[in-house]
Formats: sequence, C-alpha cells, structure tokens
Amino acid sequence: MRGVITSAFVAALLVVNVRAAGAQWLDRARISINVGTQPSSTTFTSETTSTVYAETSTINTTYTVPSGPLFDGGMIVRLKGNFGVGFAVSSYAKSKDASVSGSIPHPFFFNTFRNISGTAGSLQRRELAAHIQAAYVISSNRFDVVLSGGPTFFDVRQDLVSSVAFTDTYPYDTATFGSASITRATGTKVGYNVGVDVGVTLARNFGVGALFRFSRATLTLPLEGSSSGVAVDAGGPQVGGGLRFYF
Amino acid sequence: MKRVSLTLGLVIVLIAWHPFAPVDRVHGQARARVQAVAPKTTGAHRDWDNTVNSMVRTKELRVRLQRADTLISGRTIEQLDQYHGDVRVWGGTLTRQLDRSGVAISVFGTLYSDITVDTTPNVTQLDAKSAIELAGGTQLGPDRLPELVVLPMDDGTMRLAWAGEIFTLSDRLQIFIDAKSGTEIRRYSLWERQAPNSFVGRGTGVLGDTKKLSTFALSGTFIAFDSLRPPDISTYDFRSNLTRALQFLNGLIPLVSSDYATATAAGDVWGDGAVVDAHVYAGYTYDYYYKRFGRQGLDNANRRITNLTHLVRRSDIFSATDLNWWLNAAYLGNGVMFYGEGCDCLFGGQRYNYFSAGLDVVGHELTHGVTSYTSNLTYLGESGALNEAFSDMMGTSIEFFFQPPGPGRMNADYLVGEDVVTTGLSGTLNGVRSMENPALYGQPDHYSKRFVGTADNGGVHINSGIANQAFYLAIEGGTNRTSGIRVQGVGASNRLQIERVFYRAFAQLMGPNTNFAMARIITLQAAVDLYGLNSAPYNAVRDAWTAVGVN
Repeated sequence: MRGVITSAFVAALLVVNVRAAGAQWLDRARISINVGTQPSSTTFTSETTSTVYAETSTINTTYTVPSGPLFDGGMIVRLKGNFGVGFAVSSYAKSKDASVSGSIPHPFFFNTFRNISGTAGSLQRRELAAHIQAAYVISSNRFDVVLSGGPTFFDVRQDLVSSVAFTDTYPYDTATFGSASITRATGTKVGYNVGVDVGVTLARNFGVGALFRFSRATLTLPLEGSSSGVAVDAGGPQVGGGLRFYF
Repeated sequence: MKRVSLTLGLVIVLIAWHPFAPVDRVHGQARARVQAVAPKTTGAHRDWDNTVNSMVRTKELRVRLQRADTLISGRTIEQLDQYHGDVRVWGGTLTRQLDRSGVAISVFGTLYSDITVDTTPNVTQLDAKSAIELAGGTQLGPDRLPELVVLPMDDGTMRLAWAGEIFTLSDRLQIFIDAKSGTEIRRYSLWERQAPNSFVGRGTGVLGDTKKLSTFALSGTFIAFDSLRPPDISTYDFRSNLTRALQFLNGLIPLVSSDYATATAAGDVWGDGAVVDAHVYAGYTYDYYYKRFGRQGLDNANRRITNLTHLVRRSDIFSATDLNWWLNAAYLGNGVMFYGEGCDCLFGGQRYNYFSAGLDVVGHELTHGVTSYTSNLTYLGESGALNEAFSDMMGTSIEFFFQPPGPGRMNADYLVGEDVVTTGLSGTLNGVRSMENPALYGQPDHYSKRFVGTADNGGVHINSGIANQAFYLAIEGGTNRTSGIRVQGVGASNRLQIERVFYRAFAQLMGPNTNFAMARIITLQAAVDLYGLNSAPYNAVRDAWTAVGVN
C-alpha cells in the first residue's frame, strides 16, 4: 500500500507538470501493455467441518496470497476532450503452501480432541480481472497521464483445502496429519479499480509507461464442509511498466 | 524322590523346599508334600532358581508362558507348570521373575513333591467327558475334552483325574473324574460372579448417558463389533434365548453374524443401554489395562472379548428357578462375559439394573479373565477370595481412571456395583460391597474375622473384603475399624503406585494357590521391584496388610 501511495504521489507531480505545460489529449486511443507485480502479500482462512468418529471435526487452513507477477493490457478511447473510456485485463497467478491445523475427535470419547497440523503444498491462486475505466487523460509532447477508475469484474480461481487425511492408531491419544484434499474453487465478483498510468513518448506512436492501480473485490468461494464459504479478497495494488501505443 | 512326612490341609505352610525327605501314607496311599514357594532372602532365591532350573531340565517343570515384563523394562516373567511324567499337576505352578541377564529376582508358587501316582488312566478321555456331561446335565461340544491331571486331594494324597468344565443352566462347573474309577471326586463353581468397515456409533447407556461405541458395518446395518482396538470385542444379543446361549457356551454351536447386537436406529445409533454399556465398558477395561500396565488384553495377547447380553427376558424372572442369568454378571472363561438382565422389582430391598451398567462390574468380571491367564488363583478359599478381591480392586481402579471421583451414579468410588444395585428400601445400601468399610455389607475387614465355612466356595465373596480393605488403606490411608491400626496411604493422587503394585503381584508374580500371607509377601516384593524398599508405596502396602491382620 505504501508503494501505491508513493506511486500516486509521483503521478500527481507529473500531472501538475503536464498541466503546467497546458496539456491537451489529442490521440484517439491509447494502448498499454504491462508486466509487473501484484506486490502485496495477504492471507485468508478457511474452516471446514465434517463428521469424524460420530463428532464434528474442524479443519482450519491459513492461505497466503503472495506477491506475484502481473500481466496487464488495456486500451483507452477518447470520447471528448480529455475524457475517455477504457478497458483493461490483468492476470495474476501464483502458488503457495497453506498451513493446516485441525481438531480430530477421539474415537472412544466425546469432547476429547486430538490436534493435528501440517502443510498443503502449492495451492494455486489465479485472478483474472477485467477493468472498465472512465479515464481522464492529460498529455503533453513528452508525457501523458491517465487517471482512471471504474468497476472491475474479477474471476478468481483458488485451490482450497476441503478435508485432511490423518492417521491414528490405538490408543488413539494422538493423531498425525497425513495429507490434504484440495478442491479448486472459482468465483466471480464485481469490484472497483482506480489507477494512474504515466506514459513517456519515445516516438510518434510509441512510448513506455508505468501503471499504478488498486482494485478490490471481496468474494465468497464455495467449499464443501464450510457452510459460509470462504471469504477472499481479490485484487489489491498492482504496479507495472511496459509499452504504450498511441493512435 | 525320598518321602517326607507332612500334614496337608487347607493351610499352606511356608517352609524351605527339601527334595530329599520322607513321606508317610494315608489309607495306604502315599501322601505328597505341598511346598509354598515364597523365599524371602537372596540366598533362598538363588537356591530356588537352581532348583527350578534343575526341574526344568528333568521336565518336572515346563514353561507355560514367558513374556516381557510390561512394568519393568528388561525383566521377564515366566510361568512354569509342574508335571508328573507327562501329566500336569493341578495347581503346581511357579512364577519366576528374571532380570535382563536371566538371574531370578523372585520365585513364587506352589509345588508338590513325592508324587507316586501311576499316570495310566483306566477311564478313557471320552468316557470322562460323558461323566462330566452326566454330572452337568448337558452336552459338551466335540472339542471340549477333559485334561488328564494329577490332582492334589485335601487329605494329602494325589489322584489321577480327568478335569473338565461344563456350563449348566445355573453354573459353570469345574469337575474332576477319577481316571482310575470313573467317579466324580471334586467339583466347584468357576462362575466368577458378582452378586475398514469400522465405524463409531452414538449410543445411550443404561443410565441415560451418551457414549461412543466402536461398530462395524455389515450387510446394511451396524453390528457391535469393535475393530478399532487390538482385540476383537464383540457384543451379542441373545434375544432371551437361553437355550441357544448354553449351546454356544458348551461348544455345540458357534455364534453367527445374526447373533450380534445391532444398531437400533439408522445412522449407527444405539438405544439398547445394556448392549451399549457392555460393549463400551469392555473397551474401557481393555484401555485401562493397556494404558496403566501395558497389558494387551486378558491374555496379554489380545484375546477376543465376547459379551453376551439379553440371555433371558427380564419379565421371566418371576418364573425362573435360578436367578443367575438375571441378577448376576460373570466371566465365563475364554474371554466370554455375560451380563444379567436385572429386574424391575425389589430383591432384598434393592433394585437391580442391567448388570452391564456398572463400569466397575464389567471391569471386575473381565479382571477374572486376566486372572485366569495369569495367576489363575484357584476359586476356592483364600486364593478364591484374593481372586475376587483383585477383580474388585481393578474394577474400582477402572472407575477412577474413567469417571470423576465422588458419590452418585457414574462416579468413581470404593463401592462395588453401585450403578447396578441401588437401594429400594430404607436401611438398604447401594452396591454390593464396600472396600472402604467392608463390614457394611457383611464382609470381614480383618483376617481375624475371616469366614472359615464352606459356603460360597469357602467365602470367596466374603473374605475378599480383607484384601479390598488393604488395597483401600494403601491408597487412601485411614484406620482399620477392627485393629485400630492407622495406615499412611500414598494418597489418591498417587493411586497409580498401588494399582501397579497390586497388578504386578496378582497378574505377574502370584500362583494359583496363593493365600493371604503369601499375598502380603508378593505385593511387598512387587513394591520393592517398582519403587524400592521402604518407599512410600512399600510402607503403605506393608502397613495396610498389617492393619487388616495379614502378617
């Protein structure tokens, strides 16, 4: 988040500079292609229950959504003056282990639980986001700055721990984590995005630029054994850089 | 062997073994000599060890069982049976404790010398079986054949006999047939009584408590078969068919899957409290022995445990000629237990619930199974009283292991059977015995008050109060009401120590004919083994025996 604020501050300075130059957007469209990162690391948890030994067993999993590579591309079309509309697509994917803990009922006694813990390896997270943008573009001979915002359609795919296998042997005073069963959950949700894109023109129709965007949606993924599903945040700060094409 | 002259009787005399001594004759028959083996000194231990080794070489003693000591690492417990020729001498058994290098730590038991009996029977095994069937009034299965033994008689003579067991409508009998003449020469009751398809089901016990039970899915239903514990624990519902139960007990029919008790509702739900408690408490008893002592079931080899329930109909008690199947529970041998139905009525001012409702009752009866595979304390006289007492001790200890201490239902206390037998009239009591105050239930709390008659197999359920009181005092401390001697117990929080001492003594070191005096010596040996001489448990056990008059 700190990086986003810094980036926004830099962008604002550029806007001031461009305005000072009497900026006017004259292009019909602007295309951007970026690679970058979704720099923040977040966590979320899931809780599933199932009946084990005639009693409720609870499995808690803590997932980390790590920073990871971002691929982004979009286009803004000028409508009138410095205003335009745009559309961008960003993609993020990364795998990370999740830590699993659970309480397993005793086969012979009620209210006597054995604790287990372990790791579910390489759980994949993939986010595909379609950003609809209302844009205000300020440009000069060398620089252009795009201030944008609008709704984002998120499509999230997340590997979730649905259950665990454990081993226990007589006298069953302890249980040992064996493995986690993974289910791939998907969900969609409409959120929002705000961003700043700064371009530097290198040739008549070509330049380079930097993207600073924040998008967010909170969605609930379905998970067997979890009555309320799993609440996850999609999006977050995105930073990237790449090519700019002007038409 | 040379012959010795020695008076035999019920009193076992503690004297040093001497294999070269004269023998006299009673009515023309040579009298053998009984030797209680309980050496107290290091030298005596060494002598006995040498004697045992010598007798093993000559096959007069044969190792029946050899197992690792589950309480003290590196030690081995041996049980040896005495033989005359190739015939086992009934009750001639030694238990020897060996250290890691094979040196004897202790030797206890009973041996007979100067046996001159001819071991060729005139009566065949099948004829003896027929005689046992005639005596029992019922048939035996083809594999229930009697064993040829040399039987020590009360007058000191030895007889060649066929020994066999039989279940009757009211009892489980040990019968001896003279192998020379074919006549019955002794009988006594063995009824050790007390007045991946695995699933876990949810059951309601007799007293309304909810508990888990280990079940098995079979043909679309759930049966009371526990495959989660190392031994198979099966609970059967005879649906009031006593005839079928007797046929099973006598080896005439096997039990089949349809005999299993089954869930009473869909989803592995069990509402038959008598079945639920029998099945669950048998499992708890196994757990207790395993967790406390590392023992693996009745025979320490995970022998199957079979629970029999509903052998009769409750309401039929009023037309019954014998109440055993209603107002009793018993270990029937070979890992088989039965639990009585109880009665919706008053007997002697008390009410009798289903007998499986008592955790101490189940623990008591299954402990008879442990005894049968260990000391095999003869169910007669003082050894029988010790047999009963050990079952009470372990049954009570199991209660304290699983239930919170305190008065009332499903709590741990020193009453026996209080969850089954409850007072129905003022002036009567819950339960059938008290270890804290045996006299409340007509039991002696001191050796000087012991019962010396012949009833109740020589007072096995009466004189057990003496040892029960010693066990109680060793744990809780207090003053014996007869002797006035005060005992400093180890305290309830250290009950494990006394449980281990008595378990070690009764299940590892004793032999079949142990009497009270020997029990004192053997429990003290167990205390020394586990905690050392003059340790708190040693002193508590010593003082407790002294307080109850066993010196």
